[in-house]
Amino acid sequence: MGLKKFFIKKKANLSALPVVGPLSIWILLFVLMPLAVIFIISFLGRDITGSIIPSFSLDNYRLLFSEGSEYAKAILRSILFAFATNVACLIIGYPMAYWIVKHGGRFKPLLLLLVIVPSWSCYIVRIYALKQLVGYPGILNNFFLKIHLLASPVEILYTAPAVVLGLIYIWLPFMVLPVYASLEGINPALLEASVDLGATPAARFLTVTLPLSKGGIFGGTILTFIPAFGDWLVPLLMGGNKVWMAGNFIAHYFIVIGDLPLGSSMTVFLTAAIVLMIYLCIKLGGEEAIERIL
Amino acid sequence: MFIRKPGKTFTGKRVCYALITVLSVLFLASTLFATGAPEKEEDMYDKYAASVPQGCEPVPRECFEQAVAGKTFAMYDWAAWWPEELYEGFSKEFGIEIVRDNYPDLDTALAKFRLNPDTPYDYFLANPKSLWYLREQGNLHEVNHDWIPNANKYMQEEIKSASWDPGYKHCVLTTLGFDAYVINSNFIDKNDPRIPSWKFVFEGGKAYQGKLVMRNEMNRVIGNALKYLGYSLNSTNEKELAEAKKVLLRLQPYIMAFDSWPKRAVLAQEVWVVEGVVHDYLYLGGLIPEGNPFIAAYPPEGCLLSPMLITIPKGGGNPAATHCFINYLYRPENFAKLINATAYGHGHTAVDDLLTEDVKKWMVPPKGYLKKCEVLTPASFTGIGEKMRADIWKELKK
Repeated sequence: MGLKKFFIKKKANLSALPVVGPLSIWILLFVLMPLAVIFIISFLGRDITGSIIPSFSLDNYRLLFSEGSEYAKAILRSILFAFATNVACLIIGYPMAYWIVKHGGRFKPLLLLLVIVPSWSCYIVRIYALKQLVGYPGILNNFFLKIHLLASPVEILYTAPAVVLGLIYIWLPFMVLPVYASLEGINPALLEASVDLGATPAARFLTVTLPLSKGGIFGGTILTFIPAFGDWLVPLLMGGNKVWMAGNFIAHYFIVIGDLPLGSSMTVFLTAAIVLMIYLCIKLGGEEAIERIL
Repeated sequence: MFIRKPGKTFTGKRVCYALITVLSVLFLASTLFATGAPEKEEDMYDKYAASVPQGCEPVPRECFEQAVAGKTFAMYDWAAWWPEELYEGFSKEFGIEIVRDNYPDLDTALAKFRLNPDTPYDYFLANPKSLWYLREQGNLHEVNHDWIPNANKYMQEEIKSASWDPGYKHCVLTTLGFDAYVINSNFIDKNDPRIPSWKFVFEGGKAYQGKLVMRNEMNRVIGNALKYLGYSLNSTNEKELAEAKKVLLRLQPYIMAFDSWPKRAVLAQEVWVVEGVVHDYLYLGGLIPEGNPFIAAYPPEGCLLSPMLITIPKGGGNPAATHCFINYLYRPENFAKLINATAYGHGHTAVDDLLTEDVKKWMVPPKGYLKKCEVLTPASFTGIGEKMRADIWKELKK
């Protein structure tokens, strides 16, 4: 790089400083610095009262993946639950978004509002509403028992499927919106061209619509898979605290045991796993994935 | 929009100024008349001392003056448990503003102190575990017993020599909870021969068809499994804990949830058996319109005793106010309000006659039962004892 070019680039960077400066300070103070603190603590030890002592070691990381480690199992369980949530959100959310784009007409804003409205209310309130709906005694069970469609109540609450159901319920809108944005952005001329070239509706969907909505799918994946992976409140409320995900382990070590260094090492690993997943989504979904999230 | 025309005065503006002036004068006058001359602290103490009910003692002048000068009293305790009238009465009597903060559970509270030992609370309602931790860290003021004459007078002597606070230096007992279990008699046969033994919980899975909720606290759950096996709930014996783990893993399919306060599920009668502080559920059951279906079971093997203890963290700025509150709370009529509202056990010598019949019935375990109970000791929540329990707990959460 020539010296002149370097200085021109520097100048450009400096002119952007007033815009990105406050944001950078914010990220530095409230994202990077707390992460750095957690990272440092993860290498320290603790005394009998739980206070952190400055003794550097890798013991906490060794403990994470020692033989038969329950944390490693919880990480796998979290990946499984997050994957199931992601797939279910896609299966439910894609047709929803497709239908709104295709048939929403002048009601599109209203339909989108209906998708978004539940996420305006408090997370816990929504989970409790779901518990009232699927629990026993609960609205659905009581109704189906009354009309004799069920002989005995379906007791789904406080099980692993209940946790996945809770995650789907919470994160579904975050799949619908990016997919909707990508479908809405498809140029209708491309679809018409494919028809003119003799594509059947199925072929048109598979060869034109689906590839062009890839960014929305991966954007939705970032918005559903990642939070579902790190969730701990849904397993607590829907799983009756019996089915632990990685987040519950971290909460347990931070709050109950008071082992901040071990809890921090779990957090560092979980954060690293999430960053890797975001990277993969962006790599596979391209820049459009980020655009759809924004 | 107002447009000022040339040659015309803008009367609206003048009216506004006049109104503001009149209102300001009225406000100042009302403030002066309402407050009058500031009351001397001397008079305030005398007035307070004279208002103390017969049979009770006021705090010493020094304590009172320090507390009042502090102006605020920062409390850290459970939400929606103790009757609000206790806090309101204290605030009114001493003219001290109470600033309350609540914890969802004591482990969360302890985590807060771990992260910031100087957390500025004057009052922290602790359990033996958090008391031990804060004491070991040197984060607690010692209680000045000369400043709490009512507690000195009315607290049972045995409580003063309790194991959780050697030397009775760092805390004052409020309530005693028995961490046993309750059954919902609408669904469970109360004549089951295993009741009230722990056998019913740990062997009676079929009787309650998985409608069991256990506390989401490992020391308590594992401790009660140890009690069922006839061991100390603070055991650090590897073999005994291995047996407890086996018992709990056998019980796991019958556990509906781990929840320390399943209020909604209890009121909806989703739960048939609840392991926890029995008084909470007896009281909660009283809210069910069809009648209280809950019956307390005090297992003959013993159970965990949960004392709630007033402590004075060093981070607070008004420890004198905590002493005033303790002294105020220990007046029999105030302590009776607390026990009538919570139905918990206690160590107060003068409240029994002031309690309602229901509360008397719910609160009292069988005679001599206290001797069978244990409180958590550091053996169970530190070092190897904690590690073994954490390992069992993780296996239960699959």
